Amino acid sequence: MAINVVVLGRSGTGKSTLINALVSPGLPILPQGGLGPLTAAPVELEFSEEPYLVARYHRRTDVLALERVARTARSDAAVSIRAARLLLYGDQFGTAELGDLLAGLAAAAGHCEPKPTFSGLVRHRIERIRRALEIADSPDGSAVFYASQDLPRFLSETFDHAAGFLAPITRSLRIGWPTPLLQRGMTLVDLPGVGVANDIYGNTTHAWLECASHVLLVVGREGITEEARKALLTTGVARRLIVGAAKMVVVATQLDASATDARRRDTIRLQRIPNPWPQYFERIRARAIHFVTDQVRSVLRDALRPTDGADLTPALANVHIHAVSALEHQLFFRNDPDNPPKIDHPFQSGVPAVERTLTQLVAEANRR
Amino acid sequence: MTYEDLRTFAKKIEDWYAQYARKLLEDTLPDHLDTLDEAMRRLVLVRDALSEELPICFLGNSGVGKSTLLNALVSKQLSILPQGGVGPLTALATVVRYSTEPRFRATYHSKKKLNNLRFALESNYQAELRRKGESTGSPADVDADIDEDTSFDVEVVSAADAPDKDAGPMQSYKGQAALMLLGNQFADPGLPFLIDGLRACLGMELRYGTQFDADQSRRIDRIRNLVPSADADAAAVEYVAGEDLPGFLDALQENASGFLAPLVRTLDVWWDAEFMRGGLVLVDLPGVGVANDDYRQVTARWIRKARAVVLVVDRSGVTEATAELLRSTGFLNSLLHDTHDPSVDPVSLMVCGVKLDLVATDERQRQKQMNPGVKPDPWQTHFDTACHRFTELIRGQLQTELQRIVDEGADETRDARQRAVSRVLESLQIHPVSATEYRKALEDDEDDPPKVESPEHSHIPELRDAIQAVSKRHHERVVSRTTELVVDTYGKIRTAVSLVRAQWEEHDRAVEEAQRLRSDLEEFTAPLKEEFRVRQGEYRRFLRKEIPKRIEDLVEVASAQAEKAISRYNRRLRGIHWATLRAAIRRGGTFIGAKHVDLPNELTLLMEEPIAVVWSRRILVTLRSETRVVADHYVRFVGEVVEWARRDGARVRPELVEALHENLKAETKDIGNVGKEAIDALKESVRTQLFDEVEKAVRKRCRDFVRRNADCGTGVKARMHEFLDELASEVVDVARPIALRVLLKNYQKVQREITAVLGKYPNPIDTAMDAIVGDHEKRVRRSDAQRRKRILTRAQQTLERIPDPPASLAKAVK
Repeated sequence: MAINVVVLGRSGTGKSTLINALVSPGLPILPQGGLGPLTAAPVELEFSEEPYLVARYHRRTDVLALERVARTARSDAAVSIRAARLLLYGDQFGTAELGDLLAGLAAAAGHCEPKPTFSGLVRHRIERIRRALEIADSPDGSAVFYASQDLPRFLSETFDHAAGFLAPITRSLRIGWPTPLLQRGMTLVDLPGVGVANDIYGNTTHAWLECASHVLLVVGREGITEEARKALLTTGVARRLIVGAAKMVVVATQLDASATDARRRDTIRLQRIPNPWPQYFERIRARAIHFVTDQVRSVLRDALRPTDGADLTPALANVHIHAVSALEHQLFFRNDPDNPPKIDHPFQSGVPAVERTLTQLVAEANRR
Repeated sequence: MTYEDLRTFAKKIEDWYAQYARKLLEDTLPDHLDTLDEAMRRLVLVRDALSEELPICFLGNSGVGKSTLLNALVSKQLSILPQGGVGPLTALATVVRYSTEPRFRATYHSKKKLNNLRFALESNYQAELRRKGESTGSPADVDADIDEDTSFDVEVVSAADAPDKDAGPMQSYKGQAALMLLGNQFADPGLPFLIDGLRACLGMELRYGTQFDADQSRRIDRIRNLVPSADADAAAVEYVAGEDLPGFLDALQENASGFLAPLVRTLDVWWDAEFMRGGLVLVDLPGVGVANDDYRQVTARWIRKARAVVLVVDRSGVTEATAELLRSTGFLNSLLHDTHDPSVDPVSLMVCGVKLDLVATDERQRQKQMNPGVKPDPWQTHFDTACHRFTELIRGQLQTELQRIVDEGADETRDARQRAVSRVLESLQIHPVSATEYRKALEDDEDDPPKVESPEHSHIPELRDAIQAVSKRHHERVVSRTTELVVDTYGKIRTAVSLVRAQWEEHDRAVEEAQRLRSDLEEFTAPLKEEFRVRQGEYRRFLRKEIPKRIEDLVEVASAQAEKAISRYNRRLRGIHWATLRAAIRRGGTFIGAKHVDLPNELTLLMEEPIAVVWSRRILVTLRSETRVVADHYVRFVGEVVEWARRDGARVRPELVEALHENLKAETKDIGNVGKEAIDALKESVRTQLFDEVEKAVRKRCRDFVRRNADCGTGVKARMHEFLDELASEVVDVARPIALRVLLKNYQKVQREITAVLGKYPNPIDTAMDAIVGDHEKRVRRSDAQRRKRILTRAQQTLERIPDPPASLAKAVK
């Protein structure tokens, strides 16, 4: 039985970037770094020698609901319109007219035929959506894609489902990938970012968190945000950490710029060539870990009950705090002359340490 | 036309008025004096307030990269503002202005703050010792003189009997002390070290015999020398860059984020960035998340003054949390105070997207991956696409998020909020940039080559131009408005003096003829006079009774609306984890951790909103339109007399009446805009006064709640919710009389403004008749040939000495 590690974080902190760095640093499989909130459906990553993708879809009624909301002047109409643009034109931004969008949605839901003015590509997408909705109605209810023959095709299917035109109707994704980390009985679950306004399909994130025994919290330079704190407290994760029923790994990301800035300051101040970048990054990591530790303490303290006593040490032992540069880790493995890495060895990115912690935690859980 | 020209010319008018015109008018037109003095007072006010300074506030969640952006804008490759820090500790608004010589100025908190900090640490340490059953030192120093607020916090955090109570602020106290003494907020040298260190800074005896190393002693000495004994003595410390730029940057860093940061009260930086020339003031507002009262007040004050707000967001765009910043800082409320007045500048909102280079890099990578073996598009193309798409993303997101704020607030003020939001969206500017790439492009370092084709391609220069354009537009408006006022005032006085000359030049008239003329006039004006009497009576009643009554009624209505809004807010609070809520109540209503509960600020905002709407939409609009009507009637009455005099040209010299008519028109010109200046004063006073009282009430109630131990034990959640409900009505009770007082006081100001203009014409018809026939007495007075000659000479001289307008104003003055 694989252990689920649910990955939580604000949209834009680079959750997907970190997961890619952990799972497949040379070849990112999850869409990363796009504009606006990207992950709309939970993505489960598990081990498989042969890569595959299993998609489950929303129902026809959900597409019709989108159409209904898009017609109104409600404040969430804009969200539905963006979803419709993404579904039909593969891009949530664009100049498509509302009439076309509504007609396209109705056609995709199978209520009418596509307008003759629609381009071939739009018709193709409508066709794909129709098929997906049929699959959703079928008893098995999922579509499977294998990477065996055509890796680019597999990657583009993954993208289409996770952040492309199929994303608005994708309910969940499961990806199998041959990576040693996952081989040890772990499934990583990339959850929709917390604090994303306009969450059109309700909160799956909370449902996952409520039963999570292992949480990977990804934070940016600002540390644990209000929303993440709220999520940890209201879903009982913080309580479970105190009573020892859960483990959490907190990873601070996006610290690269801080190291670069510190190094630049030294260049100016010392008027000589400063120390190598990884040394600066090491210092920033240490600071970030301190800072996040303080924040974790404060979250745990809010979850304390009088019967727990005041000592946070046992609860803190269930939290492991790391600071990484997922970007540099990827660059190291990508081997791209256009984009040379600033680190000389993968361990300098901090990502391998996260891998080790995760592996240990999973091993412990499996022993029990 | 420059500000300097305007200032000089205005000053000349003032001097001329004081030296010559006023004395002449005092002798000849005493009735007009009040109005003219008032006009002159306004001119002085406007001249004094004429400032090139134009504040632009940068707002964004901490960690998003505000400072990096500001550095790129202002100092190009150099970092003058601390950026890329981890875990901000200070709540400081850094203010950047133009100067040919880079320098900075810092002021520091007084000893009191340092002492409060020491007290908190000592109390905590002693409580810790007591818990362990160890003997405690003498409590004498612990009971030192400190703020009541701090004593409350300390009481809570160090309460020995309830160790779980709350150690949140303690961590921040320790961090501040460690930063000051060791230069590292995360160092943990133990409480005795920190306590001794602070004691050394305060010049007190050490308690634990700590030995300080050279670096620590240096810091302690610096702190001891810098910290003033009282706030009033706070001297600014200036540091000029001169030759030693690296030294300057070090010193700046020490103040902005280094060991001095916890002590810094204000930090102003001057830099020779060309684009800021001409008064731009860039304000780096502290990232939210480290808030305290200082922070909130600093932020609120700058936001109210700002002519533009730059909201800094990253690739996820405007999230709920960023949109929330626009609300909680009072930006949206401050728009509610402005009536829809086209002459008032709209405050513009710019959304700036940073770190979009990362998006481009990832997109390019994806393209490579999807099409192996195919050469991907140039990086720049990807960046341009990302920028373009970002613009659309923001427009959509902002609309959705602001609409949500409109929808979530009280129904009664919804329209007003909707209008304010629409105005924001109309003038919205969106600027996607990459500060990092901009710097790299400027540095052109082989080790770290830029990806953008040129600095311009990072769009930073474009943003700089846009900010400069805001400043230019603003200055143009200010210049044209001020010019108008100067020209008006100039015209008023000149007309008055000309009126004097015309009156005294008037030829004698046969007494009988004058009497005949007078009785003809009397006959003609009788119905006008009757109408005037009725109108004046109504208007007086309106000013004295109607408006104050209406203010009272509307404050009642606004209070009821606020109470509803507050209970809606309370319902939302129920969704917050009870422990967070408790932490907030224990800290006097404010809990700024990762989760914000800020009762004083939220309740003030909720109370302010309907009050602002009541004043700007109900009171001021009515007052202005009624007054405009009255003023128009005045002008009409005199106009009819003028018409009559023209028809009867044989007996009357029309110049005289026309001069009077012009005078009246000039003086009542602005009457329809009364209260313009009072709006800014109101914005300031409503918020600050409400906030002070609301905060006091909230703190007191929270303290009582904690003191009677209602925050512990079973049923605490229910007790807290009950407490919040009580708090709602209490806050409204506290705020209602303040709101009423502030509004009535503000109304008095406006009323004075009105009576100053209209009061001069107790009866405009009589004045007009007077101007035509003159009463017997005055005619007798003027008939004194010698006296007439003297007055006419003085009037002539006064007119000759009238200051020459600068060339650019000459046409307007004519």
